[in-house]
Amino acid sequence: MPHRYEWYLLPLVIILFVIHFHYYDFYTTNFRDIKNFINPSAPEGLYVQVQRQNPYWELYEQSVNYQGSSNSIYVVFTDQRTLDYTTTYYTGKKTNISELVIMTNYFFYPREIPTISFKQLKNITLQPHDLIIADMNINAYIPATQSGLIRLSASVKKQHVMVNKKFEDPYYLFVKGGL
Amino acid sequence: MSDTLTLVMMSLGLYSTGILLYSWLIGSFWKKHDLLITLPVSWILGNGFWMLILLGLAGANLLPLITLSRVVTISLITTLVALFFILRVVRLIPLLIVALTVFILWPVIEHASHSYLIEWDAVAMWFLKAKSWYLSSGISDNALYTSSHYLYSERSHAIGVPLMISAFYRSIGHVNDQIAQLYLVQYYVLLTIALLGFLKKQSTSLSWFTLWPLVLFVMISPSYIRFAASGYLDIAIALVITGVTGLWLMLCTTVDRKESLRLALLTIVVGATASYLKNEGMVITAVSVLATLGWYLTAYRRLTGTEWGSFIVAGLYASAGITIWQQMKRIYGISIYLGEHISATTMLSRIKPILFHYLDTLYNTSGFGIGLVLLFITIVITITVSLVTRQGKHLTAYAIPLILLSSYTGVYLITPLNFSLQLTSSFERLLLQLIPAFLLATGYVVRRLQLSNMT
Repeated sequence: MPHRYEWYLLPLVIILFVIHFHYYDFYTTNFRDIKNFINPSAPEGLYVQVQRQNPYWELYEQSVNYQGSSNSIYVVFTDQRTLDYTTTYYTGKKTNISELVIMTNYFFYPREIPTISFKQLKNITLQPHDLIIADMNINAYIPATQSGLIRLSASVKKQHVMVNKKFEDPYYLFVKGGL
Repeated sequence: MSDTLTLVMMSLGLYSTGILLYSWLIGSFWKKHDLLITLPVSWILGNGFWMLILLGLAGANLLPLITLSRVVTISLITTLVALFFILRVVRLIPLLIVALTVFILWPVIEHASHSYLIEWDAVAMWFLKAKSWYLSSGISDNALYTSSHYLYSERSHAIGVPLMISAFYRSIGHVNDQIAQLYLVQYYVLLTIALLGFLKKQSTSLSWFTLWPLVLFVMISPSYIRFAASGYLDIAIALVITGVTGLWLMLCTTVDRKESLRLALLTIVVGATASYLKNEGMVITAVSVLATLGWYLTAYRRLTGTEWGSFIVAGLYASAGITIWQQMKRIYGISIYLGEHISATTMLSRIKPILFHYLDTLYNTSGFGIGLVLLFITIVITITVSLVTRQGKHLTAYAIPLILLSSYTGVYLITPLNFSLQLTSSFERLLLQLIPAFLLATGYVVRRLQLSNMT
């Protein structure tokens, strides 16, 4: 049982706990929603079902598709030159690395994906099925009829966004068409 | 065997190894320690021990030795032996407290295995490394450490956790960064349990009716929930700091010399685990050795040959991980980012923004509720009362968290990275490491003041 002096402290402690529990409940409701969305008996399994909600799911899918492939893959990165912690990572070597580059390097590891600028992309001759991962919609600058780049659309609609997740910048996947 | 079951087996192996080490180090005093302390401390010890082995395997390019059958066999044997020891310290009330805590934190545990990797800098820093160790036999053929393509990944950081996750990947035969988060979330649950255990054991006379909601009030604040299983290692290192501080405070009130020696050795071996987690872990390991030895020398003046011998062996164990990793870094030319010359003027100009940011963080109510404000007020009052009543010696309890805070401040002063960006983006996480230790120290000082009032 609480000691005599503890009775004076107990109401304050319980009120503080209840306040924080209220915030905690906000998170747990979000967690529960995500969990309830998962079908434990689905044949594709837990991993794929959860990863489908990942904003970078399409990137992950392509990393699986291009595993062992000899096709070229490039990340087109338009350096904003502005330090923004939500999207860029400053290495101290006067280079910004975006979240997209980091996720690409992670999914495609150990394959090293070169990061190129939009200008460099224009000077590269792409082969059919080469993959372009970009932080800008290339088709808005070079018509698809001219570049031959076919945009891969998002395969899954993200239904569950994690609380506390800063929204990532949009990214675009293109594949060089034609044979 | 499912991926989750494999991780559970692996975790059991880590706990069990830790329990065996704990009982061996503490000897006949084992029964005096209850589950709320033995469980988290055993996890730290088991991780430290196996991280040292994994580091050796990575250095010798022998990582393929890790197979599912070996992991399961070792886990089963150690678990069966450890059961004999753990059953002797299980008491009903601590067991109920553990069960209740796990019940409340269950949504976070469940979330860990139902979440993709959210934090991209945790991906860059730890999960990329885990994948690289899984796909290589050791450091010589690890592309991440031999190519300049991944320089952003701060390769100087210790590799204990990536190696541990890669051992899980090897056991299941593929990358599963989702279930791997179940490994990380255990540090968070155990941190809560350790805080309860140490506060109850040593620092406070509060009953569970007050203590449990008070600790949970701190541990379910939004910042802790956010970092519980998001891939960062700040909670992991917080657990080691809590273990070291808690054991060191226990040591400070132990009068029996034999028991003191056992506790001192345990503190040093627990502190060793920090050096496998992150760069700042080396400071924690060093502090655990120096603070323990410092207290022991102050208390007993002259050490016997056996005591010196024991301290040297524990010190060698504590420095083994650091030595191996430094050697590997030297051979492969991996350097830490803190090497550039920063002028004294620049450093002086940084002091004011650092202090103001620290004070600003005290009012970070969206991350910590009013927990930090209350803790700060309590610390100031306890320091004032201690000084006014001439009991300042109790304030040495704050030594460990204050030394660590000073070392972080030192890094901010000399960092060659964008200073304001590093300060604002990392301090909240660093504070997560120190809050439990400050809580333990405050509880200890309040209790000492209370006891001296009674006499």
